[in-house]
Amino acid sequence: MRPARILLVILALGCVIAVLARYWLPERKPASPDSAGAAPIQDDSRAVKTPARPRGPRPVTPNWASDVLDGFRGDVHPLLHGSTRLEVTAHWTSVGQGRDRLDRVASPEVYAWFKNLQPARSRETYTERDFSAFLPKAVGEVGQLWALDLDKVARFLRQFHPRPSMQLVAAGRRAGPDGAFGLLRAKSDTYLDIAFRVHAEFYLTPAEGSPAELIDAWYTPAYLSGRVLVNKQTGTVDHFTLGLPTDRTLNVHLTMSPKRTGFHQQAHDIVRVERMELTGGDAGRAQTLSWSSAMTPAEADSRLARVFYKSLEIEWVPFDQALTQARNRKRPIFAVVSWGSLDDQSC
Amino acid sequence: MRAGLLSDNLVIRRLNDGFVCTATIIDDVNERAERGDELAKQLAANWEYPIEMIFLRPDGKLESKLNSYKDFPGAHPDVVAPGEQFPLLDERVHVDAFVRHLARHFGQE
Repeated sequence: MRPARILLVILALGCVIAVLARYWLPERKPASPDSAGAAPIQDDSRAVKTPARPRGPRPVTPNWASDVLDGFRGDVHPLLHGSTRLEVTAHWTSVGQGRDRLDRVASPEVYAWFKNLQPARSRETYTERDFSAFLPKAVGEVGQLWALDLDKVARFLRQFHPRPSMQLVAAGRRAGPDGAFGLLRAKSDTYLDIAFRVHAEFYLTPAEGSPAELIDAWYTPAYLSGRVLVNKQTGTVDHFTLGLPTDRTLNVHLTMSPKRTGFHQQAHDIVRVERMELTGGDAGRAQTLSWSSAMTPAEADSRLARVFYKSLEIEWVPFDQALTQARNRKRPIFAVVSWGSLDDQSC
Repeated sequence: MRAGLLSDNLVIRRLNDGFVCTATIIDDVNERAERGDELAKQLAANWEYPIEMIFLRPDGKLESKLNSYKDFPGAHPDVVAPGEQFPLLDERVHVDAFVRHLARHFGQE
């Protein structure tokens, strides 16, 4: 065989191998946690205009147990037999400086989508029909758990932003666990106190008209939790709140993906937001009530978190108790130290 | 890690049966370490991005550690990961590595 022909065959084989590698091997690009989380992305179908589950990744399954019932799915719950007209006010402060300084890599125009967020409607009045979404089919004992109607919960989230998603699909992360769950925290002859936890995110990319509209941007709260105080005598909701937890240092994950422009470098950040809350009615009223049966708010939060994360079946102890317990129980310590929280969606 | 390794029934049982478990973020560890917290100083000195699983003896001395990227090669295909991570098709690989580590340092179940 002549040398030129041999060279041609080698070149052709090289091309075939390169094409196969391009499609079959994962994309590998260097990335550093110091560069605003910029990192390669695998090809997937999540970076679409409206995050949609059918073509997206398979979400992490919530840690449902048999004791989680379906919530009320009708129009108006019989418990809410009175007329509720509760004005709910929205508060939403700007994102704080992120740990990974997304503001340094995003263009000012795109970063403004995160920075300049304001409630879509500062005030909105909700009725018994709306609040029925948070109630169980039938009221049981304190500790009762049920799944909320996601579409109806999303109606409340639209007071913050017109594009909430009840399915967590922000690029570069495990999808989910999705869901919204309610828990009967306390009850008396006259009142019910319902706690709930919602996983949701907001798709921030403007619909059209911006040169940057091919950049996908998501704002993912650690979670949203709240309470509904039901007055059984009047059949009304006397107090409602839904908000972002602020007891943790960082509580919102930001994602920016330019995949639809042809570039695959994503950027992520974890930031603190001081207040993101809907609140209406008499918050002080709940403090004065006496309950015939109740669990503490902390117990309720913990139980709701376990519905989402199976890893919370590990008996985690508070950090400041670990060493003492290890010495007393003569057990070794298993300490997980992470970049972001293990028990919420900020990481 | 939380959806894979730390949600595995065997791992949960081994940890609950034999360890005092705690979890925290590095920012809080650093803050506590600066205030002189003994455990936090130990953890801060041994932490590497993004998740470090650190095993300490009951007296607080370091026994061993596992890094989520270095010691558990492969990442879920949906997750961006730095370095040479390949798509992890079977999460049992991580569970097996973890259980082997426990056996090596703390004995069999």
